[in-house]
Amino acid sequence: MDEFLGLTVLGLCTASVYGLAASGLVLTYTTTGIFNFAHGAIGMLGAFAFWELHTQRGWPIPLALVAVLLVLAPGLGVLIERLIMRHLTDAPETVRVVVTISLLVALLGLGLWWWPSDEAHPPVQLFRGEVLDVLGVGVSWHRASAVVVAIVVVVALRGLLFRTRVGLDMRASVDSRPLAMLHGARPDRSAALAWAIGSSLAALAGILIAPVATMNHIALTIVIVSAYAAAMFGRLRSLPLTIVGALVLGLLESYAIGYIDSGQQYFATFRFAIAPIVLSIVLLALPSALLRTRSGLASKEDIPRPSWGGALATAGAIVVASLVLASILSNGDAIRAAKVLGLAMVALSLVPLTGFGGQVSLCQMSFAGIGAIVMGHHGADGNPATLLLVAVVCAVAGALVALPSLRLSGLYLALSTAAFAVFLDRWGFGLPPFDLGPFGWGGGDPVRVRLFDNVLPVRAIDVPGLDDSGRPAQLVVLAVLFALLYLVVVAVRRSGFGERLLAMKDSPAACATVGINVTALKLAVFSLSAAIAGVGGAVYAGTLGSVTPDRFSLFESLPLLLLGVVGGIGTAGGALFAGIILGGLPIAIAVWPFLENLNRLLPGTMGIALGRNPNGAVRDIAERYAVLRSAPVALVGIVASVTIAAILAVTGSLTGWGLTFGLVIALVVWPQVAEQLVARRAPRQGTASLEWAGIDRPLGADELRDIDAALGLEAPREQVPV
Amino acid sequence: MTNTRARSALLALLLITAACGRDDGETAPETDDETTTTAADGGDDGGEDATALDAGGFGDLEAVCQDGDASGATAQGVTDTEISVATISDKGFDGLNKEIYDTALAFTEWCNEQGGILGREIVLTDADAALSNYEPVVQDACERDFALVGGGAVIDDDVNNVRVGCELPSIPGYVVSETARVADLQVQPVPNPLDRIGAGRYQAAKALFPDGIGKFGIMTSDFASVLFVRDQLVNTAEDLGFTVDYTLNYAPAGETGWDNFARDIKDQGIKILEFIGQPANMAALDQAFENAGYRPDLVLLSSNFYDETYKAASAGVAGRTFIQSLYHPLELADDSKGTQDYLDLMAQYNPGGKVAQLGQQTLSAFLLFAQAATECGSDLTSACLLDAAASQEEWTGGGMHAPQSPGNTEPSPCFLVLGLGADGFEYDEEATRPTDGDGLYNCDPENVSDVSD
Repeated sequence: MDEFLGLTVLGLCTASVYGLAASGLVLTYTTTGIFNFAHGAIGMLGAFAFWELHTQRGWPIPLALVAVLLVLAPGLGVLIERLIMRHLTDAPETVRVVVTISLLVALLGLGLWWWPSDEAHPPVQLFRGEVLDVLGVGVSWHRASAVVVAIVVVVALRGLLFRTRVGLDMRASVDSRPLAMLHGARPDRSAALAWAIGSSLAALAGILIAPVATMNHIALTIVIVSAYAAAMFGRLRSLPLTIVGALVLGLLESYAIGYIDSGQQYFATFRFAIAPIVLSIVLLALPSALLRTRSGLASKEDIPRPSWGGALATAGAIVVASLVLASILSNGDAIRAAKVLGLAMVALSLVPLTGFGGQVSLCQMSFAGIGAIVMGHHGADGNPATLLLVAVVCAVAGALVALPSLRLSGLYLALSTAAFAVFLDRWGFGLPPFDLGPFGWGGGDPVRVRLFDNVLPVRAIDVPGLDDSGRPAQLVVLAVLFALLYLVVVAVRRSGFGERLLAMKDSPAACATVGINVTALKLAVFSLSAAIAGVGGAVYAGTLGSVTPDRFSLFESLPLLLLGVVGGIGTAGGALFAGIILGGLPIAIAVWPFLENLNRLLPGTMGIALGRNPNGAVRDIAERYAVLRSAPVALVGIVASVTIAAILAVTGSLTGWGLTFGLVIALVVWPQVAEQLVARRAPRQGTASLEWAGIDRPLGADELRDIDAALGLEAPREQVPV
Repeated sequence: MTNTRARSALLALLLITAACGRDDGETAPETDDETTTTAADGGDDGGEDATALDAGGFGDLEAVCQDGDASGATAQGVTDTEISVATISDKGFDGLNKEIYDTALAFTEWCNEQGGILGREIVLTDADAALSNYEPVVQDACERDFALVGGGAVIDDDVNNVRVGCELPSIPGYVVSETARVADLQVQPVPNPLDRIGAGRYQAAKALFPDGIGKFGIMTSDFASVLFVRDQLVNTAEDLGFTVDYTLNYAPAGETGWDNFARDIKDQGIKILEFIGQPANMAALDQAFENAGYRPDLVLLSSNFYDETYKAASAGVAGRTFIQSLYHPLELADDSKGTQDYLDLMAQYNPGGKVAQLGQQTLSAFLLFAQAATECGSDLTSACLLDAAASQEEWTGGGMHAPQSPGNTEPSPCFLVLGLGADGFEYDEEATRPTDGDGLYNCDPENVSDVSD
């Protein structure tokens, strides 16, 4: 009984912090319709800012608290609302999810930049050293205060939302923004207020949990997964139910610590799987009607349908490029390049799933991890046939993950896949070997399941008969594999299956109406995607040699998704882009160390910029190169530069990264030159040729503005990205 | 990448597995008083001190680096004028263990200023594995360098057998994985074998807290490789007569159950607790003990807790603590010329560099390399280097650490105990029970236990 009491008291303390974080999440969602994945990262920054002010700058605790909770955090919230979220009001769900995830990644990068993790940051205790005795249980005042604060905050929030005019505005604007405006509400102001309060609550939760969760950037950020689950209890709307959710989670986790034998090798850390499991259950239990997230505007993405000729040429070019690289790169550099391809394959798995099917997945690296496990245990000799087994196992895993998520889409699907990733991260992948079965027919021995067992050695792919003692051969093998997977994706795009996926993305309801089995479609695309991710993970692990589970964590999947989307999730180019940034930036940092902090912020900021450019960067670039066709001089120039570089490379006068960067510069400079040349020839295609807009050039935002101007129309307040 | 930061918490733990095994030892002769190096050979000669840093000596070593006329392109990376070496680290991963390269840089600067290795300049390459690039950096070194010196990578499993495959010798700072710990063509200055465990802290605990051995608990993170170490430690403790009452796995990052653990430990009446993991986690547990109003009589820690983070968080809060180490404490640098020389070397040649125990281990490897390469002279080959390095006896890195027998298998039995007081780390003579007269170390051969998996 004593133990039960103790666990309950401590569980309540944790629950209060979850409740605080979750109510901030609910507040922003009810007011702006945006689920803030970056909520935990804001809390992390709050905790570090508090530490900085108090410990480093010597501000007294109350002053530092006021500064963080009433100035810095709300300021950050308003800033985020003004600069980013305001432009997302009409964006598709996928974009909103990706942008807030990008914000998470960017803020995490900021935290690591300002407060490097190799320096000591002892957490600040409020009321240091004072211990409160609750029913015989010693609780620090710091933790106990969370309960009081949580009660006050929740009552105040409830009052704000339901008893004040501001609260009414807040609730009204999410239901119908135009209607609320007609009634004199100012949604922008409500939204800014909601973001300010939400961020402040996140910071408060961060400060309160810091001494318990330690001042670790990731740990502070991930505590929020429990808040996600709690918020989902309240269906992202109800504060009281959210608090119930927080209580359930806090207490369950506390009892799990107390009652699960701590020396037990399988379930000792099962408590970390509780939040994702609860989250999944709540998502499953939500009535379907609630699951129709706001559709936003129709998708503006344009998924090209490559011709077979073009696709084969692209695949061939990838292989030829790898052959050239293999002949000039050193062994070490060849492995680094091969790693890029491994990551690109995992990113490629998102093309059918997210690009065609419009399903957001935050667990692609988890599938990659499963692929690595299969490869590690069954591909000891590096036999490429093992990849087939990898694909099958991962396809099954993909179907299993998809099953509970079938009714879900958009935000809820993202949360559900995140839950799966966290489940594996924090518990599943770390399990020691265990037995399954014996399975029914014929008895037999149980199946021994081995996962990572610490560090899992994975052999590089070894094609029989091919001498790959030198690493460059590995690069070519991976390029061939990437090209093959790319062709699979092209085949999907060109098939009826692909058309149905695109249809499902545009309107699941319409699909069902015309008799398309959306359930089967989702299941199939999840399996396909997981299989590709698994193969990618297996070869990626092979390029690393040995892998640990944390290489396949949620925080690995996030940049992959957002860079894939930034690159253009509808094409293989987007996947390569993601691979190159993730695998290539570290190489650039080795050459130019000052890039390190850029590297921390780049993926996140790129994703944040996404709201403006839903077709991705690769399409942009392709359009930039199109100008070369109108400037023969530049075209000759770029071909000549590349040829000269190739000759220099083959003769050995220019090698390694010098060559690579030289090429990159040539590829960047010539389109610029071409643009200048074209611009000089035809100074400005002004209003005179407006009737040709959309015929001789793409109909972009500039053209629309020009047309509007010519017609005497006022441009809309917020330009809709085209 | 930003996202990869999650690993730092987990992987710093891998280091600990190395740190734990590091104090292993068997029956190395412990007769000597060489462990204290205050009055090293150089001092007695009178006149110019050949061990002085600016005379090319270090600690009690003479002529570590000096001008000379060694010549010949006797191996890859060796010319008449240069020797190319690479130092592996993970500093690209958020500065993880950056002290390794910081120290390598300082040593190289200093050594070349003294004339290099018999006139050959050391050309140092920064082989930053950044946690996930171990194989590529080894591949690069395979094509360029004479040897790997002073480095280490947290993930150093060489499944593709690259280094031995290209016959690249290594005098590492530290090794972690099972394959690396027994790899060929390698001489560890401070050996870290798989099958023996330095149990000095248990002996010390037994002597000072005999009541506690019936109430012993051990906490580790639930990272699988650490669990392997945990099992070894449990076996060792039980062999030594401890009753292991309590084992607990906590999450290396994001654990929130410290208050519950402290209550558990209180309820079970644990008197001696061994904690394996990162300093920040122990700091959280220290705070939880405060809340629970209970603290074990003694906490046992490995040498990775000899760290500024732990000091900053727990000085004045922690109770009686035994940190097992085999390095002469930096706080007592006055008593050890080697330790003082390390501090001077860093201050003079890399003032912005990080000073830490792992840096000393890197330096020990570089000193061993320099000694061996000097012995080989104009016959500098891989085989000669490794033979010469392995034949050093009573290797103390110039006096920075307890005597070692360089190689993969022959560790020293010595250790000392540090405590954490209100003002910082303190040498705990009562717990150490030094066996070498006025020295700091306890070198009783009983300190070493065999472990079987």
